[in-house]
Amino acid sequence: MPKYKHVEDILRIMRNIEQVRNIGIIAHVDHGKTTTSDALLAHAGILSPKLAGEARALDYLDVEQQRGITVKAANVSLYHEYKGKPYVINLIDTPGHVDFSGKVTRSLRVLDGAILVVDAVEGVMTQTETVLRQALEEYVRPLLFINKVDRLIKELKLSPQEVQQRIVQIIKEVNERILTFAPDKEFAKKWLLDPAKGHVALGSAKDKWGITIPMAEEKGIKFSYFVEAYAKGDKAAIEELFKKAPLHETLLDMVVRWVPNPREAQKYRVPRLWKGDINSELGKAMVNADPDGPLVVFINDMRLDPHTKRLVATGRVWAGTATAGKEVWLVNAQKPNKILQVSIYMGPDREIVDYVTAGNIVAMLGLDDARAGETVVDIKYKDQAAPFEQLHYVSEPVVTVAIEPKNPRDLPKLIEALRTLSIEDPNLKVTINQETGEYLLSGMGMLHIEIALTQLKEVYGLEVKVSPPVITYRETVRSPGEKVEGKSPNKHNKLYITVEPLEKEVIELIQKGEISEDQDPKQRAKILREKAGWDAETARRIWAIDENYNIFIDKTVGVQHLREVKDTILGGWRIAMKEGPLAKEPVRGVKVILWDAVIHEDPAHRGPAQIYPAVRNAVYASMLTDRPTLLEPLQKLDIRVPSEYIGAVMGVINKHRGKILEVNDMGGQARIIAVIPVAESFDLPMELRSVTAGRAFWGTEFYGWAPVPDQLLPELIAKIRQRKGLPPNPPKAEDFLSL
Amino acid sequence: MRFSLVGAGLRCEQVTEEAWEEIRKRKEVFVDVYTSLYPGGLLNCVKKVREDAKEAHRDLLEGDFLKGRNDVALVVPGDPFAATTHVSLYVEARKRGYDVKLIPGISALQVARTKSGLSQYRFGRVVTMMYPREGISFSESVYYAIKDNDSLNLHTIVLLETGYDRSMTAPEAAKLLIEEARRKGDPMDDRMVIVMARLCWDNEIIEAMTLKEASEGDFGPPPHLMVIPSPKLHPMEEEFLETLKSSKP
Ligand SMILES: Nc1nc2c(ncn2[C@@H]2O[C@H](COP(=O)(O)OP(=O)(O)O)[C@@H](O)[C@H]2O)c(=O)[nH]1
Repeated sequence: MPKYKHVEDILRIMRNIEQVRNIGIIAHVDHGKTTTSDALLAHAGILSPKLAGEARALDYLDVEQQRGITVKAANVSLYHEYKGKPYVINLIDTPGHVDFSGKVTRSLRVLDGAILVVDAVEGVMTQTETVLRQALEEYVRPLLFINKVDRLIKELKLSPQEVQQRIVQIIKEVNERILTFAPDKEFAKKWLLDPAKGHVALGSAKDKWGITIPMAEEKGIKFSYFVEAYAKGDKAAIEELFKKAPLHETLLDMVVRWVPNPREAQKYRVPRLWKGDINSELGKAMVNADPDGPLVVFINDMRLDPHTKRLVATGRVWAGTATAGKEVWLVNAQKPNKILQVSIYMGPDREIVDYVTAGNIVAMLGLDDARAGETVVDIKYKDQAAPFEQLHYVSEPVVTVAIEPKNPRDLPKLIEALRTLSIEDPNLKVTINQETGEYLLSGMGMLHIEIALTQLKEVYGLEVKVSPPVITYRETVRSPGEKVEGKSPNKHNKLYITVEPLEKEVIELIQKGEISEDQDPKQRAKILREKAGWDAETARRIWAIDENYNIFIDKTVGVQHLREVKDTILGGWRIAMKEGPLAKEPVRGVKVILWDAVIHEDPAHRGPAQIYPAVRNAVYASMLTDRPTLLEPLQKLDIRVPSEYIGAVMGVINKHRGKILEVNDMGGQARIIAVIPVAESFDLPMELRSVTAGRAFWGTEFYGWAPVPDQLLPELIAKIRQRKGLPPNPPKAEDFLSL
Repeated sequence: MRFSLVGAGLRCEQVTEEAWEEIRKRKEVFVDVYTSLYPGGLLNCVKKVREDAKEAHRDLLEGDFLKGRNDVALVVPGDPFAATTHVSLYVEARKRGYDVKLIPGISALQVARTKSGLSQYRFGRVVTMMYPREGISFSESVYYAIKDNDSLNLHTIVLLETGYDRSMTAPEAAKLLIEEARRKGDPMDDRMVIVMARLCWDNEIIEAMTLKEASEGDFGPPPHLMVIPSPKLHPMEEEFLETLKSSKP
């Protein structure tokens, strides 16, 4: 039964940080994450008596019976009593797919502990390993629930001993990975799972029971009891198991006992995860989860409330107390916002409250400029603020489809749904093709797009027509280009420009957020000097850095009026970077250097109409002398397959211009890690399935960019240009110089 | 090969005999309709003599205008060299060996100097106020030009953007300048300005007032320009300025 609680009672518990836990459930797909979450919600979910009128209660039951409600809420708060003391346990939604790294890490960041669910029959799988690794990297303590033990008996017909051996084997496999992946030896040892201490539960989420060894001893439940119950198909005995050892009790006991409370956790997590100065006032308040300190909230989830149509920001309060009316600073968006309303989760619902203290999960209205991954701080501490997560992801949207509703009347609904999807998943981009009016959806891979399309259908009930996917390429150069003169149409402005490849190290510095456009130039120069070997002068004269890793550098000396046209020159540069000369694809990884300029003294003769073409012509001409090329997106594949299929899988990868990075044969199960161009990936699921008789499982991840092989280049350029209605042959440097 | 660059002054009555002669004699005649506004339209004025005169748009002038033309006149409003494109055309024509004839015309700049009554010896750099576009503001350049001229105690003529679709009026320019000066922490609301609307037209307006008043005024359709007198004036200049103020209704 859900627990009926007054908001005030829950708030009182929340104020006592020792009585709060923030957890998530992580698992390989199909191992039982949803079933386990539902069992927890159904029996420990909190229900506000205010909401729980009769109709409401019925409603609730109804919803409860629908599978997967927990997946739809950003957070579900649970109520649990352990040794006579009440606890609030926040169960935070973690995404079920490994594909989109940003999202997983982001939700892990608000947890202190995680229940890893492993199917007893399948054991540790690819995704088990990935989510466990990600959790450990975020300093989230793992606990284990070995699920579906019924299958060991019903399907594999194992004896009690064999069941035991299987359980021991799984724990061993998980522990091996904890040792390998914990970023810190200290934690690796401390967090090893010891079943005798009660770090491991086993049971059946479907039948809603679970036990740990200490509990089994205490309650006198023997191994043979449930093995026999399942072997005989004894329904009453299984029902008895649920009564004696309900899953929610077992798991929540385990959580309260072994997951650190937010204050304990923040002591070691803040210094390791936060980018700011630990000794600042802000840093100290966070390490101590101080409710009286300055407010810091990390937003892990943004979604549109389907009823009120307002944006709800859900996140963890790391320090201070969130209250309505508070002015805050959004560290990534670089914007002020104001918290308009604060609420807590009561089960899956939200209840408005006056305040939420450090260590807890809060839902806020008013932070409309925030996106998932944002760090929110008290505006007075703007200068000490540092983000939890950098704005730049290594993942970039590279596959685009055009979509339209099957029924034209659904267009407004589609627009609304797309907007919501792109708010909820910042890696999903929605744009409108200005010429055709089509809605374009871009994601990090075909799988990413497919998930969004499924959501359109299942969540929003929209039937849509989808164009074949189009891959986004990037344009870049491979050697330093010649210095060229770009003239404005009126010939009174001249810019002397070269384009060079940007060093790999610098691209990485931008990706990691170590250097950025709006950083203190001195600080930036220092980093570039030390980590990329730039000379001080060049490093100091950066004018701009864009999101595709392009840099503009001013190396002129004493050019009159240059300052007054800086914004105009950068405007022209940004346009040129948006569409390169080869195929009008975005430019990536170049350094544009302005060496000298002649600028007309009157603004009438140096506006955008004059300066933009001058910049563009020079940039294009120089690029076209730099051995320009296209970069194609690559995808990493992590494939699990029975060993006898290794050869077949490698054959498929090779056929698609793929590269094998690693093959690991672990007793009959092989793991193959490979990289293939996204362009070659569309038929892959079908082919992999057919050569492995459907026995292959895999995850995908964005891997990076690589030059398109030279022999494929001309044809690809012609193809992209024709799709865009351009003549098939790209222009030559001369075409921009004669202008 | 012959190329004539002909200035047509500020109204048809200001086209000189010498200019008409060139317009009559050249094989082809083009009229620049981009760079300025002209009472009754410059094309109509030229057509009185050359029915076959054609409009030359900006693209043509900034492209290769001379290509395939060996006996051509380009008639422009005001003075040929008041607009930059014409200078580059002149140079290009000389380079290609044309016999280039340059016929000056009365320009708004000259008339503004005269009709302002300010000392001809004390004018500084001219600057144009442009509409902000692509999110970029250009009023800062105007502010700096005025400040530069102020520091040498020189007057500033502020020309206003003219274009096919819209041309800036003095109130718009005054507003942009007031905002810019406020951003710079150096308010200019009370600065004296001479607003000149439709110079040499039948409905010409020339009035002195504060920038603030200019920003709230209505001076009819463009073309407009503004003259910002230097901070310190000669007594003679001051007296003249008074007469421009009193002409206010
Ligand atoms: N036999 C058995 N099946 C289970 C158990 N728990 C979950 N399942 C089934 O496993 C499938 C996947 O479970 P689900 O919770 O959706 O997995 P998720 O993908 O990790 O969320 C569903 O068909 C469940 O009914 C269990 O304890 N025993």
